[in-house]
Amino acid sequence: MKKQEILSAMKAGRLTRRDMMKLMSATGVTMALIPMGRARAADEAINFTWEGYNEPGFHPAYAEKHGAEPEGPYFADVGEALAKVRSGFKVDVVHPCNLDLKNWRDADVMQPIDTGRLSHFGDLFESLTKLEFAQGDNGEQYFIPVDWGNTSILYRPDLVEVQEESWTMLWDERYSGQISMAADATESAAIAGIVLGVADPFNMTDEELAKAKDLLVKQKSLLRFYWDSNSTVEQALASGELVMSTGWNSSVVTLQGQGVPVKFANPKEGIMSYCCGLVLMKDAPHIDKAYDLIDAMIAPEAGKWLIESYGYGHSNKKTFEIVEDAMLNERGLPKDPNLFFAKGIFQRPTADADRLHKMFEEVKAGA
Amino acid sequence: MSFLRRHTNLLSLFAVLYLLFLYVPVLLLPLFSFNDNIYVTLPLKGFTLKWYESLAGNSALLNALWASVKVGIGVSIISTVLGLMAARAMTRYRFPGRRSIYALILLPLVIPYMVIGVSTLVILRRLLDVELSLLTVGASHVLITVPLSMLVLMARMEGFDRSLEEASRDLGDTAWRSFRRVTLPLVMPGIVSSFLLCFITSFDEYLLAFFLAGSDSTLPIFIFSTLRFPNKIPDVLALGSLILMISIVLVVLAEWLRRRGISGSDSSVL
Amino acid sequence: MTALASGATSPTSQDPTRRRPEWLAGLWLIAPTLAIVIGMMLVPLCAIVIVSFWTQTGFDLDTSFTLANYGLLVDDALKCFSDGCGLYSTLIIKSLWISFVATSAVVLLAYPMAYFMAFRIQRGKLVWIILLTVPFWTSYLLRVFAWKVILGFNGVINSGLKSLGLIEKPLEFLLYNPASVTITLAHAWAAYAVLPIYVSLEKIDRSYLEAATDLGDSRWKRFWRVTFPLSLPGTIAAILLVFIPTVGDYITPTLVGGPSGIMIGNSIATQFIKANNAPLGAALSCLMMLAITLAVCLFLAVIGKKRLKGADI
Repeated sequence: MKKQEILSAMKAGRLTRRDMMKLMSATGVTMALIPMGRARAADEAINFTWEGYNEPGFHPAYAEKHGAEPEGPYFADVGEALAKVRSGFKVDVVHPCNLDLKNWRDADVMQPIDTGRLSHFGDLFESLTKLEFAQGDNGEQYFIPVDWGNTSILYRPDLVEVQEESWTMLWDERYSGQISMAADATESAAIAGIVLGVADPFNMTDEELAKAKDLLVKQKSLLRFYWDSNSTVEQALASGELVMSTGWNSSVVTLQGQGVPVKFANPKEGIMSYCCGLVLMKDAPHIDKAYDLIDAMIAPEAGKWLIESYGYGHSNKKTFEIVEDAMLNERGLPKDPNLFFAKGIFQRPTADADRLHKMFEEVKAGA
Repeated sequence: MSFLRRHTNLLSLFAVLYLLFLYVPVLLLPLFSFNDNIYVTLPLKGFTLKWYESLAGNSALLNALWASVKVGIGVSIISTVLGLMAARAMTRYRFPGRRSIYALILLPLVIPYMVIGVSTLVILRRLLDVELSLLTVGASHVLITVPLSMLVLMARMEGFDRSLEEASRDLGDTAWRSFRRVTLPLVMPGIVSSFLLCFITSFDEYLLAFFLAGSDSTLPIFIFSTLRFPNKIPDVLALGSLILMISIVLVVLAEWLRRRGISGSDSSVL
Repeated sequence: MTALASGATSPTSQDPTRRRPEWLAGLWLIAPTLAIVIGMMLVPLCAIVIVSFWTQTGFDLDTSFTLANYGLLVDDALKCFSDGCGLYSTLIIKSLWISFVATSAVVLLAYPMAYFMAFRIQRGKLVWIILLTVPFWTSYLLRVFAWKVILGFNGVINSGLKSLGLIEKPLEFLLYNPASVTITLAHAWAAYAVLPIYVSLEKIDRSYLEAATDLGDSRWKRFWRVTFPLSLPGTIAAILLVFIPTVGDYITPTLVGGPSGIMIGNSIATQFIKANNAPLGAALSCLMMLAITLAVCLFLAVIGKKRLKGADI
């Protein structure tokens, strides 16, 4: 059928079922034959990351130099991303967080980064570049920190009465059914460890872990759910379904932007910090452009954008010189992050993560 | 709603309630897509069109949508053809190993997607050195939708009256011709159902798509990845609402055309 | 296609299926589908079975044969007889149970709808088929958000009841429990149940029904004697299509299941992705597949005995 015929048939209202079928199957076949995969003229660095982490603002210098944006296949979960890379998916850089680094090291998928090729490397906070597992045994650099943030308790000051900010708030029976925790074994165990006051909440003895498990079982009856994504927890805090939950400082920015009163606790036991950044893959197809991308993401102007639009901290010292104090204040970020890191608890990968996962699943399953 | 007047009984009432059950949740989505709040929560705050504006500028999301539509349509066609052949073989002929073959074709429903995804990826990349693309995603979706298509079409073809086809043969039709003229029209509701079910399965599948996609993301990959930053969720919401509203308009339009074009001679099953 | 096409173009045979033995024609017709399924599935399937007999420390796979993973699962199951089931047995039983309840709900609700479409709708059935799938052209995540808005704390139901003055505090039992998981699943899988049942009901020859009425059957009796048995292929398809995938589902329980919302699918994913214990994940997958297969075989055996007509499977 020709287009004219179809149109006139439709006008006359005599498009029969058979014609309709022909038309539909013709459209279907045509669509199916359209070449899958777009042809790519540009051959840009491949940045395997979260949706939203490959925005132009993250790496303005890259587009200035190459006139194009890096490619960004997305992942929703760093563990899934590692599984995909290990199975042979070729990318240049990936964006894991420091808690994941042990896995990435053990999986043997990264190559050391020549820091001499990064013009901004010297300006990065040393406490971040020297994080556990960020460097190899001989001091070679595997991880370039980009963004850092805090994990603490997000709470609704209008709905929660707080005497003293502490991790024990998450066990407050007055708010039974209105509390949430991240569905993360390492973090949950660490929080329980902090409450118990163990020596090292990221490396507990079996005995300590058993106690932590009891504490988490006790907490479970007070929880509404374990959150699996930032969106879930923000949505529930906004609706008033939750009055407090573990969360990240970026949520404060988004929630306050929507007019939801929310506070980010500074627990007396110490606030938790984490850091995410870039790692370079062993079989990276575009090494030179990957270096340009990494350098662009640790530049101060990229950091300024990151703080202003996402509310995360940045790894470059100079970023904190060009961002106004008022903005830092509003975002809950310190003027001198070094002092801040020294006070808080930096999250660390656990040597034996398996028992944590088993323990946490047992808590959830009630077995 | 003229059928209500003709059959005002419990069954019709149930059908209306069932449709409400299906539609009420999704019809809330357009409501929230016009709400001036990035969170999908009550109470409503105010009317805005800004999510539709930002959707128009969100080329990553639109590319993902297009990728999913392409994969979905391709997969539905291939799976329905394969399912049709398998279902016809199963219902029309007796052959050795029939039960085992049936079980084998249903097996992909049982294997966890995580396992299919990771092991297919290893084979494609490590052994065959195939580049990942929407084609590899589509192939894995064919695997998981073929059983579905076969089951639906078997439900249609089982107990099928063979004498009709034989009559057509006696009139001198070839096997293909009698299949096309006699069997196909009778199976049509099954084909349409299979096509639609395959489409919604592929269109909404995340895990296989994640492992087997190259640099083009499908819609579910985009959406799951977006959850890290709720700021983008309203775009997804606006897109979902648009799809919903456009498809409802199309369905109503098609129904209107059909009624106008109806001549009374069309006594077919569709 | 090849089988049909070759039959049509072959000049010597007007009727290939009669000249060619029937079993060959059938095999010939199913061969492409079978080849594709086997080609794509065989390696994953073998891989999972083989890996389940290995062990892993960190990222190093130890490929020597061991029954350790299964031993662990047997110990886990044996605890059911002493001091309460272990983690994995608990999860498998729970997953099968939730899936069973959800499947029953889905199919029981879908049947009358399919019946309505097959027997009460005279014209425009295509529109009804499409109408049933339109709600699913949006992302599952968005639909779950919508359910949260309806069932949630300040949601539609709670706000409605509050404004009517029926309750003072929002009802919290609506969301984050097995019931909300079942509701969400019943919604998500609706089309998968209605359509197969509909296509099998719709093909029923009206003359059978008239014959039954002529024989003096009541409507209800006619339904059980004629309609239901003839719709069994579709009903079975619906049950399989909903039951099998929901056992391994791990997204729904995470999103609406509350703090106890964990099923065997979550545990398998954890082993592969987070705990780096692929062999245990593989063994768990095998166990889950075995459990599903047994449940399905049991179901088909029971149905097979009850079926009136001799169509097998």
